[in-house]
Amino acid sequence: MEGEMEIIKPGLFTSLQDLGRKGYRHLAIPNGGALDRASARRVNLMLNNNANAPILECTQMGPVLKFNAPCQVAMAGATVEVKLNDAPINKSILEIEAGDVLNLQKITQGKLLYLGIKNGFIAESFFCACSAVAGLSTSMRFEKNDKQAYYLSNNRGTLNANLKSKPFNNDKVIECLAGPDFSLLSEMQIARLTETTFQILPTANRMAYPLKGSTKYLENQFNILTNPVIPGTIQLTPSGQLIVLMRDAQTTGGYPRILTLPEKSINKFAQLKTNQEFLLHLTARS
Amino acid sequence: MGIYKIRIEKFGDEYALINWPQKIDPEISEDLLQFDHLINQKFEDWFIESNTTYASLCIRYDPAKISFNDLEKTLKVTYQSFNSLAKRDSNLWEIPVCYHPEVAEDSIIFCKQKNIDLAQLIKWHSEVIYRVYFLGFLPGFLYLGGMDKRLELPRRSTPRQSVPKGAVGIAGNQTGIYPQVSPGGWNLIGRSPIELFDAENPSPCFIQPGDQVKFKPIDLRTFSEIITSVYNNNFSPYKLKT
Repeated sequence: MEGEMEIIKPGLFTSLQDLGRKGYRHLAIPNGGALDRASARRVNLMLNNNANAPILECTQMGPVLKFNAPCQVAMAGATVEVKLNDAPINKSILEIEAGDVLNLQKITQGKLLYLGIKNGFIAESFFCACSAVAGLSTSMRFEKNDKQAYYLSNNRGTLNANLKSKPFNNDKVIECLAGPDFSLLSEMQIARLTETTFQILPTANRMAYPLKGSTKYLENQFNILTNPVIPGTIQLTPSGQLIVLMRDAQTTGGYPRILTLPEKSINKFAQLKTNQEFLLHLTARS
Repeated sequence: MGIYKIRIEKFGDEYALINWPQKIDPEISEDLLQFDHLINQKFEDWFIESNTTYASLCIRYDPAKISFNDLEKTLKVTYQSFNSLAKRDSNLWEIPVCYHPEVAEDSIIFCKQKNIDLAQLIKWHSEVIYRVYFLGFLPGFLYLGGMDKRLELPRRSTPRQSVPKGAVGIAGNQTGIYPQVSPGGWNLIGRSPIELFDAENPSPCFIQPGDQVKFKPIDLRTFSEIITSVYNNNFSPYKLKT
């Protein structure tokens, strides 16, 4: 037996994700997966699900969802003002009844809200992950009136009800490491880089987050071969712009890879809102 | 014994990057592809996956199974005792390409900018044998080396929103084929009717790094005939030699 969730309103960008794929980078297929992996893991932990169970990733403005069968859902990541059948409810694990409408539109802190469902959504696997791939998948995100199936369970499963969504970390410093092409930068450029205030541009998508900042001092004619890149790689363009590669990034790139965000920083960075100011802090490698 | 001086570095939390001398060189490429092959087979416990470029190998490992320091030692020792002389099997593939302006959006303007005629473009582009260095950029996109220097042209100043599937492009000293519809800034000088990437197939890409390709000029009629046979699933890519 399956339940069905209807997308009444899709929100800004809502998609099905898991922890991403392994084993296809040699074919230039991106990793994909939840941008904030820590929150995605948390949601499944709250529900006692498999860590890799498909979950909903909601961006900046969440969706309105209608469920046709009882289920249990959990939320983590961004803070959201949840409405269940139009009534505000202050819980991160919810018991849903048939016909319930869940409104997740108002995200107040952070950018990405993860919604998990007990036993997981039923997703088609595409190269061993449910994440869509640009150019190959027919759609990248949910549209109005789309339907998403989920597993039904007779017994209400055990939950980790005490596991609250983590309080939001509001400091605006993103820790990063020297990237493979870091040595191209001069002492002056490195010093100024860590003092520059950056913002994420609105054109950010799951592949790459271009940054805004006064970085004329980074203008360059560096020339490197096309080389491997990973989620978290920060590229430097000739005009001095920084681009942070995210989970759907290509597997190779031709711009110098000056910095790398470690996993923890990717998760934190993914939760920064567009136009929010932040600093990059260079961590010495241990 | 490994013949090149390689440099190993940590890349993020779960990748290691091995750098060969940073050059586009078939011998360096062959050495690193063979080493990649060995790593793929030899280390099942910590190895997750890898991808290669001209002169780098990016290994994804499981940090819960091995520390980076131990990984670095293991990779160094393995490379020291590695013998890359045994030549791997590689194929030479023939890829049909139609250079007719009707399917090659930029072929006329390209010839004008280079001050050559279409016949010259076709000859120079199709008479050389290209080496497949690696796959990158898009699923199934081949990075080819060996293009005739006389065809070099910088990418278009404004990229196209949508480049058609199969489009054959030139950018700088590189030539390649778009395996899917995608945005892109390359000068489109031809179009291939074949599928380079088939997501339904367990091995989606029949061409491997280390293989070679040669383009076979075809006319518009042959182009649409091959499109039809690809659609009906009775086109098989032509192997010139193994």
